[in-house]
Parts: sequence; structure tokens; C-alpha cells
Amino acid sequence: MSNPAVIKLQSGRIGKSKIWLDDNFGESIHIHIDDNRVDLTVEEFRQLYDDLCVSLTKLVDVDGFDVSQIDPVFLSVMLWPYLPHLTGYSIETVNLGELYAPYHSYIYRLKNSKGYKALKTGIEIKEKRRNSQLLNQTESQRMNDILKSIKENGYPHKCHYIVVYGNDNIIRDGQHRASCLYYLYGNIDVPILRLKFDNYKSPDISNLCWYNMMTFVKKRMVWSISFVVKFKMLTYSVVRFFLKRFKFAKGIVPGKLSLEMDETMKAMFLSK
Amino acid sequence: MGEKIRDIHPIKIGKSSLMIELNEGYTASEGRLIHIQNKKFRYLLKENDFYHLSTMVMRAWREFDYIKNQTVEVMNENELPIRDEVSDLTMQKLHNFAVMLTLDNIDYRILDVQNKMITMIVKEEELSRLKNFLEKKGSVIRNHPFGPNNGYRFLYQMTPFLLYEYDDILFEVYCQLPCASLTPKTWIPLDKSIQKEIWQHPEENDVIKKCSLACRCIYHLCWAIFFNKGFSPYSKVFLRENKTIFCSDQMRELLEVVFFNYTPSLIGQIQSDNFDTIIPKYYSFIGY
Repeated sequence: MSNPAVIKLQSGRIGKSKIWLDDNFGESIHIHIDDNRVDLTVEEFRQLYDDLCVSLTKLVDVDGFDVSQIDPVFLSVMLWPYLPHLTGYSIETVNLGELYAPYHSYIYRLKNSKGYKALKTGIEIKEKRRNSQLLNQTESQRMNDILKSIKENGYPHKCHYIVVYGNDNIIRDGQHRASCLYYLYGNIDVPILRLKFDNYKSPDISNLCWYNMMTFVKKRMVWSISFVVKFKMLTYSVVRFFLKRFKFAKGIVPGKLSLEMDETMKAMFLSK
Repeated sequence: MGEKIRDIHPIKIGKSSLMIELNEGYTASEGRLIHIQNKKFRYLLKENDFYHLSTMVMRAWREFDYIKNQTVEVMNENELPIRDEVSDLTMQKLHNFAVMLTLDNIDYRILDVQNKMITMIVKEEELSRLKNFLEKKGSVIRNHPFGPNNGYRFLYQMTPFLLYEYDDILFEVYCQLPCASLTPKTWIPLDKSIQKEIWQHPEENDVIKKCSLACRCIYHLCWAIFFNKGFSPYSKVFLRENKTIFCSDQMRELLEVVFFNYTPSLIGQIQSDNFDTIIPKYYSFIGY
């Protein structure tokens, strides 16, 4: 039988292969590629991480660019498809007020971003889990961790800069950091990392209102077209929900079923 | 095969040294290829796939680092309920129940006895006989709070928990010694060697057949570490009173199939009564 304490660290598909990495507490870290598996100790895993950082840096081969200065979460979620097209890398100073924060395809000035507003009003951000969050980390926790890190370690910490692409100032990575900096210090100049790609075209945000309105229209059009598919999926989920409710559990003694469970009984289970 | 462009960087996977090599693709439109290879082995993938795979591994390291440095929320002893003393009536009812099971030739082991609740294990092949037996006696099937009706999954073909009420006592029935997985609302059976141990060395007291002390200790440990994330007052007392068993090689071997390299540290902490540090140290353990 396998280790009971297994946490899936990452999973995904590369081509036709299914890949996942899990941490088997106390045992080893497993890297699975389809039915094949590699077992690593913690030290070997750390060494592999270092080797891959160097390998990617050398493969990209852009003067001054170092993969270890990029947040691995951002790298894995957004940046990796663009790495072969990277042509330039520079660290510049930009005023925080000139930065834009994207949110669900819409673009806002940093002072109007969700993160900054949440900090200013103190209202907790309640959102569905996003791929850019770490395991067991909520959006609010993430914001609080970053705020704490900036207060303790300053910015940039471990050379992790706010990242923008091309010639625009749309934040691609570091929205939370930017919001925290804006909240703590106001409209100050900060160093950012600008990446240039040979296939990147900046969106036209000279009229932000118009841009966001067109985004809204496009999203509604896409939604309408996919409405039929979504309706079918919704119908199926509803039918399945009711089928499960009325399905007899395996091995039930017919005719004598009680679904009540009071707190006293539950306490008995917790006191083990 | 496309022509080699250049060596990128050596990497180590475990103790094996490999070289990452950049090559031309088989065709012009295919794009470049990466070979991860040594004299005995080669793994080939497209350059884009290599970027994807590498960043996935790098992110996994970041997640691992985050998990190990996270503060685990451990349930305080005071937050977990205190057990009532097992009454003579419960013991009498258990005795009668055990007699009836023996007369019906149903093999069982008692795992845990609380006032008005008994946890027992039966063999999977005898489960249907037990169900018929309980049905004949007029027992009521109850909804187990951690069973499938409450959204819990049972992996590796594990039989879901059953809960019956008979003679004003709750009988919780397992077919395997369970352990809560770190995946929420998921149960898995403990290792085969532990499942075997249940049936090999019973403790027989009167007619009541109990699981061996080793199995009972493992059960309470796993419940505290994986499910409650805290040691209840009862489990601390139970493990404290029986800590001599943790000195045995047999117990160490059984614990190693659950806790692996953490086992020596776990045994040491139990023997020195440091229950409060067991769980935080386990979740931040990197000695493997």
C-alpha cells in the first residue's frame, strides 16, 4: 500500500504524456511521466531545480537573463511558452501610478485594481482557487504573505521583480506586490523587469474604457456561442445530483435507515 | 535524427548524470529537440515541451518549499472532546455481542471501545454475514459522519465504513485499518503488513478479541496525525501508557511503512512525551 501522506505538487499534460509530481512524506519525491517514475530525495530534488534553472537560462541565451530571478509559479503558468521568443531583458524604474493591472481580461490602473482596493478597504478577497496560488493558499493569505514579506524584506526580494512585457506597463507578474507597494508607500518609483519578445504585440490601451468595453462585448459573444454546450453540461450536472441523492448506498439494510447524526455522536469520533 | 546544436548543461537525476543537449528537429517545421541523455539512456522531447516540463518541476519545488515552511494548524488538546468513561453496561453489551459473533462464527477484532461506541474490524469476506447478523438482531443502520454519504471517498478498493446502532450502542465497522489521506475527505487502507498484523496477534480478554496493541497504537497515531491533526486527551493517555511497545523492532517496522524516514523521530518524541511537536515536525520534515 502506498504512503498515506501524499501531496500532489504539480500535474499537467505535455503532448500526449501525463506528468505529475508528488511529495510522499518521509519517503521520497516522485516524478511521474505516464507509467514511468523517478524517485528523488529532497536534496536531489533541490539539485534538479538548480540544474533546471541553469539549463533554462542557457537555453534561452539572452544576455543578462536569469531564470532563477523569475517566480517559478509565473514561469509555469504564463511565461514558459514565450521563453523561446525572448529577445531582450532589462531592469527599469517606473512610477507605480503608471502600471496597469489585468484582471480576467480587463485592464485597470493599479489604483483601481482589486488587490489595492482590498488592501485599502480591508475587505477579504474571496475568490475561487486560481492556478497562480500555491497549494492551500487562499487569495487573502497570499496578499497578507506578500505584504508581510515586503515589510520585512523590502522590494525586490531575492531579485523577484514586477514583470512587464514589451513596451506597455501591464503587470504580468507581481500585481500583489505592486498593490502592496502602492498601499504602503503611495506613488513611488520602483524597479521592474521588462521582457521583450519577438512575437509580442502590446494591446492598445490608450483608451482604457473603450478597451474594457470591447473586452466585455467579446466575452459575452464567446459566452453566447458556448451557451448550448454549457446548458447541456448544466442539465447533466443537475440530473446527476438528483440521481446521487436517491441512490441506495451499497450494503444498506433496506427499510431501516436513519440519516441523523447529532453532535454527541460526532464528538465520539473526534475523541479517538 | 537532427544534428546536434550544442550541449546546454549537465543535470543530475538521482545519482545519474545526464546532459541536456539541443538538437535540430527531424524536419524543418518540427522545431528543435532536446535530448536528456547519458551513455545508457536518452529521453527526447520537443524544445517547447522541455520548457513546459522544466517549469513544471521548478514550480513543484516552489510548492514543496512553501508546504514545508508553512505553519501547520494543530488542534489543541482542549479543542478535542474528552471521552466519557466506559460504563459497565457498555462492557456487558460488548461481551454479549462478542459471544453472539463467536456463536455465529464471525471473526472480528475490536479496535476501540468508547462509552456507547465500539469500533471493530471484520474480514471483507465476512462483511455480508455480519450485515445479515445485525439485520436479524434488529439493528439500525446509521449514516457514518465520515462515510460516502457525507462526501468521503475510499480509495484502493477500500470498503467504506459502516455504522450500526444495536442495543443502544453504536458499532463502527471497518474491513481495513484506515488512514485519512492528505487529500481532503479521502480514506485509504494502511499497508498490507499492518492489515495482516490485525489478524495475526489478537488479544483475547474473556471472549472479546481485540486487535493487537501495535495495531491500536498505529490506529490512534494515524487518526491524530492525519485526521484530527491533533492528539486528543484520550490518545495521549493511551500512547503514553503503552509507549514501551514503541521500543520493539516489530513496531518500528510497522511504523516505517506509514512514516518512513520520520519513524525514528516519531518514536523518540512519543517516548519523551513530546506529543505537541509530533505533528508540526512531521509536516515540515525534509529528512528524506
